[in-house]
Amino acid sequence: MVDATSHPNTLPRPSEELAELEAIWASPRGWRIVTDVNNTVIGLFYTATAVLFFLLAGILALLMRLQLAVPSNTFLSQEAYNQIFTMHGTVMMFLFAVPVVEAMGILLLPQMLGARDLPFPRLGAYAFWAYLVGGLIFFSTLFFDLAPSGGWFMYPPLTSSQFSPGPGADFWLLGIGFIEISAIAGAIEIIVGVLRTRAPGMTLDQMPMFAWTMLIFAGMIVFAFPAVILATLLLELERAFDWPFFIAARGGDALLWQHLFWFFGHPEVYIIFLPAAGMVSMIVPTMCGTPLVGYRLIVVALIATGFFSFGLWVHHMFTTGIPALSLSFFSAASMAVALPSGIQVFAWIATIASGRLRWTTPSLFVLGFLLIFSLGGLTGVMVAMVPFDWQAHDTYFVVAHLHYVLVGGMVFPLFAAFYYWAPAFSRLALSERLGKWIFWLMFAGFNVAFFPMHLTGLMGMPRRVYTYPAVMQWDVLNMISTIGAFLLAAGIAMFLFDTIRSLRPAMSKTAGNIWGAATLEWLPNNVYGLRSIPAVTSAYPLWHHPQLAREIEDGRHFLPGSITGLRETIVTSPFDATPQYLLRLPGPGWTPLFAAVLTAAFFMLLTVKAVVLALICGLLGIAMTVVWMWGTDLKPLPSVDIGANLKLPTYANGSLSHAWWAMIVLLLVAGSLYLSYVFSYLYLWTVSPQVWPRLSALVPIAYPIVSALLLVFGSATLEIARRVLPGRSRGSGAFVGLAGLAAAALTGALVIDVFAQWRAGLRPESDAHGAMVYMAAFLQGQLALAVLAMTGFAIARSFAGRLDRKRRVVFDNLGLLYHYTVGQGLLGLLLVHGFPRLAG
Amino acid sequence: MSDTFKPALGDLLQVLAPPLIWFLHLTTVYGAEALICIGPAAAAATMMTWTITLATAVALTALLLTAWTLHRGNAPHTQSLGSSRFLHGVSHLLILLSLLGIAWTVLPTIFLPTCA
Amino acid sequence: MIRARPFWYLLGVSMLLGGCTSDVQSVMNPSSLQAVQIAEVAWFLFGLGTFVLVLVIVTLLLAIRGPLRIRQAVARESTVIWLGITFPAVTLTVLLVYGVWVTRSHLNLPHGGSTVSIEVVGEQWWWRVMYHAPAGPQIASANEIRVPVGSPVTLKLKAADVIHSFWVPSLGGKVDMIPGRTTQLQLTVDRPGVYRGQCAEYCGGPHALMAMDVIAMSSSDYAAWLQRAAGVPATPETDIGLHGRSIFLAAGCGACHTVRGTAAAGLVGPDLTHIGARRSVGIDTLPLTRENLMRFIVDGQHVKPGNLMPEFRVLQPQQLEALALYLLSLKAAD
Repeated sequence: MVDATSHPNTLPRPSEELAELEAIWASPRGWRIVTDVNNTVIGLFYTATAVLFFLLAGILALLMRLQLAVPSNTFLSQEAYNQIFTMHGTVMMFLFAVPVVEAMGILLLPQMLGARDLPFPRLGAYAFWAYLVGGLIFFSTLFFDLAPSGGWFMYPPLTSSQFSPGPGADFWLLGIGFIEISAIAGAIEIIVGVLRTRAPGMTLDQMPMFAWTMLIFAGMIVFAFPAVILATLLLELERAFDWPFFIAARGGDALLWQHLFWFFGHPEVYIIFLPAAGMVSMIVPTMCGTPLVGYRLIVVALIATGFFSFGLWVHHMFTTGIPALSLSFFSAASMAVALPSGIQVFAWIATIASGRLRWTTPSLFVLGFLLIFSLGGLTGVMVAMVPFDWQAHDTYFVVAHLHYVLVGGMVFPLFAAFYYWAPAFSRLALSERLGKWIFWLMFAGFNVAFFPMHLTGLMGMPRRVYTYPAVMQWDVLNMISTIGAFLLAAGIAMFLFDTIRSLRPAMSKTAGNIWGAATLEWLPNNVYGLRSIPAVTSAYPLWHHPQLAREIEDGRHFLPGSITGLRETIVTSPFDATPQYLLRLPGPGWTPLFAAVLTAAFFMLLTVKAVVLALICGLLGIAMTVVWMWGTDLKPLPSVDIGANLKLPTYANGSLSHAWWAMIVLLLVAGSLYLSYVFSYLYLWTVSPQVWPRLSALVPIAYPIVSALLLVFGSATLEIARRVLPGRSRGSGAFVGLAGLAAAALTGALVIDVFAQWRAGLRPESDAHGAMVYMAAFLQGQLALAVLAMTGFAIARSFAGRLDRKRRVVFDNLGLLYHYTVGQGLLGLLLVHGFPRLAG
Repeated sequence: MSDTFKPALGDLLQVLAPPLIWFLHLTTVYGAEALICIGPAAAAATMMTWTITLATAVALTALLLTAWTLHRGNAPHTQSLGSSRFLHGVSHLLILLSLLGIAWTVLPTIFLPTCA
Repeated sequence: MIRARPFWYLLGVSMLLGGCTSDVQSVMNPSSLQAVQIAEVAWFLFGLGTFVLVLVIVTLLLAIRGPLRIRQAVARESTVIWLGITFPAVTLTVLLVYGVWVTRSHLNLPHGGSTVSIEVVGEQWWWRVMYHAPAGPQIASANEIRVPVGSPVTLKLKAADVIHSFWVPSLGGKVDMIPGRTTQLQLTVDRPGVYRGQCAEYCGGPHALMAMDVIAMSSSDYAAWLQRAAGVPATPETDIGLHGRSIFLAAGCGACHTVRGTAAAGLVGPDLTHIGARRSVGIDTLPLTRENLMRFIVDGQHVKPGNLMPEFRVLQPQQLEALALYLLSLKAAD
């Protein structure tokens, strides 16, 4: 079946096949293009938006450099500077670095993997629109003097309502929290996409390295982002309702925020870096005309980075007075994470040595990346040394280090990627001649701007100072940095000029494979991806099979048209990419756009305390989502032949379904959010055991036992409901009753618990323990709401004849969510009622 | 219907186990230190030594176990499937890196007092 | 101890356009036991880092342009393992042990009875300093910390509002000041002098202007100073001084500031008992002169934007001058 020499389909193809495929996948014309959900369209919008935020945050950086060019400067006021550096960091990290990587993933992955689209096109569109709207509103706070000014890591108590009473901090917390949700939506899409929509036969050892990095990138988002989402929730609840999570006087602790934030923040650096490394791993083999040396070593490096980077969050807290032994554990982990980077750097060098490097613009950017990133990595090892970090921490040395790592490790590869992949998406390639100018300007500008900062830092200049007196003698170095920053900016401006001049995005008839690259995205592509989908037998199919482009255009490979008359793609098994079923994909629609705008409105209106309006928008947003979801889980059709007599079913449920995998990933997000909560609870106990109640003040044990029994009963009830799913008929009293009963049991368990705590006199604002107890209920309540909504949805679908024993993906996912919620609820009861008994 | 998930899960766990063991070892010794340092200072050093010895022994056993399952599973079904064989190679190297990581975590405990 | 300095100047002269090295607040100009150790670590790291960077660049150049035999050697997977795993594993093990060793020596300071203990509280946006003398009154000061040379000094660090970080680069690493916690920093200064430091953790508003001086003096000078500082300043002898004092009390300065020996006992702002003996006004933004004092009282929001003291623009010029003269007179009788 996965034999490249045989052709699954015969020629000639039916004459109307191609026209039909084009019509099905055609993007809406004119301004209605905003309703499109296709990955290429969304990917291009997404990338352009991310570049816009890069430019905006870059302008902020230039303003800061102007202010610091001379001592005691009054170009910017103190408050303006504080807002600007906060926004620069926040926008670069949350609105540029992560989104641009997701954007490139959405744009490139389907083409690279030989899929027609990612498995959840509307989710991708939703993630994009939410990001665009939320991001623009967030950025525009700067123009109304409402921007946050607490630094991009927003340490409380500076960001508490006492010391930052204005709405700036709320914009950060709700705005960024919301954009993180968009990032998680993108991550789910990418994980399921990489694992389940690869071309037949594309085993894991033949997968393009970029796909590996995107898989690990998305996996890391799943485990890292929940920690910061929890942190933002805690701080927002503290600001809005005075729940004292971070207030020392009532048993809270400022360091809790730092633990949670850096548990996200350190992996974040690698989340940004890994996909960039993946781009480099794609570009180097092409530019050297030789396969990557050490493919397996690089995969090992990627996985190791993914894990090791979660074990060094405390290295941002070396100066907080934590015991020296603890610091050393994390110093050791920081050393460990240097190894995988070493492997990758030398693997790229080995690849260069095994071929002949062509001096193209992408090659230059890759070489620039290697140099800058190596230096950034070395200063990274320096700040991993505890005593050295005591001096370097929070100085310009660290500013230099982090820019070497992030600009060197991410922006340079990204520019290499822009030059490298532009011909795949544009009628014209970008200019090689201008490109070299741009590279040299950026490379020189970057080093002139940031190298001196190592020295300013050692000369005692702390970061985040809006000015400095002349007596410090930091002026010469700062002036040099400012000049460098403008050189860098000139390079980027020239890049903009080059894009405007040359970039002509197109779905078909692009400049094409001008580099002689070997991976599937360089085959003739259209809005529907490849005309026909090949079986993959090598990591470099275009080199091993030169006539592939021709055959694919002719439609000789799998799925040369649309069989069901809808957008389709092949779902394959996660490891060996055996075709499993034909997935019918949705086409253009308004719902993702409206749902995203309404969600953004909900969060932003909450920030300005327009609660009623916010709720209206929230409800409308949910309504939009229901409309959107109503059209999913299409009716099963008979099996279809995609070529070579390969019969694929058109429907899958249970763990075969791509939706099931997405739900599992979502539950991993929820699980790691809850584990962060459990950590926070226990952590605050170690800091302030005195606010934990005595045994006599605890809720009688009978209450949690009743709650637990209700939860277990609910799970059992839902499983019985699964047995009585309607056959072919509409609705079924038994099913509706049982599903409703299960939802009621779950809600009842929560209500009883909250009631018991309240009756026992516990209040969330009284101390950290009270706040933590109600936080458990808050997190459980969120899920209970989701379960209620999904139960209602499932019942409605059963009445509409859209849910039965076979067509039951909606119910499968409800089941997963339900059982997870029960598990979380039981753990919560054990923690909240059991732990004080154990510790007291 | 679960035939996509179960074999995949097995291979996946083999790949993820080594770094996961490293992570659990790190968080265990870090968490243990935080807890031990709340208690009486006199017993701290002894308790820490025991905790680290125990945690490290468990981690090393778990790594050995992973290596053993890899070798046992190497024979029959890997010949046909490129992905599994590939992942086995990946697991081997990850075991080595994780061992080094654990060694580095333990190293400072030789030199440093427990709660200072 | 000072062996690091020639290297620093060499680097300064060769790599920077000369003259831009500064000793005011430099990590590489260490003047305490601890700072010297860290500076040695720093030099070791810079050397090692340069070596590794050169290694990467040379390998890269050989990979691009080298002779075929070398390129074939570089292209081997075993080379990746040697250079990318084995070499870093060995180097990093050495580094880790070295780092842990130095960390330990920072902990193992002699805990003799001679240890001086000083409490420093970070507040938005100034430093409250309290000397815990074995006997006598508690001496409070602000933005100026006097320490004896040659004996270990323990600084107990606290925060009154948000997180600050205590950092005097020439004397050692920084330690955060966190609400609800007390952190510690031990220093053994090795020569007399004035060492500038500033807050290293962003604390809002004029964080950039939250600076201080550490004044290291010989043990005998320190003991003498401590004794002087425990005293109460003499009552002003001139009419204008007395006038100044009455303005100080009438204008409500005492609601926030303390001057021992008077009714002014406020605890919100800096203790002014011996302000006349300090080096600066406006939280280390201006040198202490009569003009600067007057300027800070009426125009503090321009001297140090965002600071929490209201401007006393209601004061007449003569009143202001009397007030400034009174404040300048506040120092212990020698």
